[in-house]
Amino acid sequence: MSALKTLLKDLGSDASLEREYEQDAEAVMERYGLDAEDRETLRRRDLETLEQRSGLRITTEDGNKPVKGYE
Amino acid sequence: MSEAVPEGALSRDASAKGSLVVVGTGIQLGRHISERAVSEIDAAEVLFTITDGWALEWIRARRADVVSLHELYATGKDRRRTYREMHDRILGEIRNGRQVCLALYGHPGIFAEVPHRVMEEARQLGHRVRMEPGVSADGCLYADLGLDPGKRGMQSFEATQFLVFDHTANPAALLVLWQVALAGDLSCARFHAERDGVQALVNKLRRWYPADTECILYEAAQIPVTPFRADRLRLDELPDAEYRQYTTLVIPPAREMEADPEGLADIGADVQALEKV
Repeated sequence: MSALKTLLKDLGSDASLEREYEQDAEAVMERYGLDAEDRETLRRRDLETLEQRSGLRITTEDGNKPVKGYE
Repeated sequence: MSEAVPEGALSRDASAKGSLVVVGTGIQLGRHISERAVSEIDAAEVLFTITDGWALEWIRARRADVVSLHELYATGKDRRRTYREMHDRILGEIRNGRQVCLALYGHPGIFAEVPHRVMEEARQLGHRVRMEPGVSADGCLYADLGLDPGKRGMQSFEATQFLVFDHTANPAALLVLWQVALAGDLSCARFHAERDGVQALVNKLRRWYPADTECILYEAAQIPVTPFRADRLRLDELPDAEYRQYTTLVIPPAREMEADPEGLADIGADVQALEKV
């Protein structure tokens, strides 16, 4: 996985890392080797860009769609 | 002749046949997936997944042989045909005697047609099937909003189903309507909010709720550094609100519960008994 995806995944699973990130995000991003664009996206907490760059929204056009209760 | 295997039981014969375990990866990658689900992903002979690109990449790093069933979706293709193809691919491997795992986003049994159908059919064919629960949007909702469904009861509906069928709301309980952005869409083709559809939903809700009832538009956080959404607004403001495909409408209990004298009488009690509850 990319550095950004790895960091996001680890922030979800590792309480100590999240606390460290809250205190010094720059140091954590440096350690994970994030590029300038990903660092800026995280600083801005830009959800749309994060969803794209994490792969959260990368599916086929008709994929990951809701299921209707009456289907 | 195949013999149905009781849930939870594992006979020597059954273990020799194909099996299926369905697991959830949770709403937030890394945060919500269970140790057992990871173990099932690692141990399966055949691993299928229907999930987003991020989770797929994480799974693929563990299991390069994972088969993403997303490839079966196609623009303009009827989703029901896609579901049938997914079902056939999974069941085919089970019937070939393979130990199959299917990994899905969120809770694998919520708003998920394929796993329920394939589990039912595989079970009828005598295969061992099991679902491991995952963290779903409703689990996140209780935690983020501090709402306990056990306190006043809860009703939960898909928004369009609530609108077009004769469901009734109980304003004394918590009401949760899923996929509210798609309210009113019977075509299964729209994936964005339309004002008229939300207005129709509000019109129905007005049968039980005043226009100024406080509502919450909720979205669970899917990425650790971003907050969950909990926008509070009046019921009559909903048509002009902003929605994402997965926005959930939450209406906290809007009135006090009222005693049911008949129910009380059946247990030999009266309204005074409720003062001690």
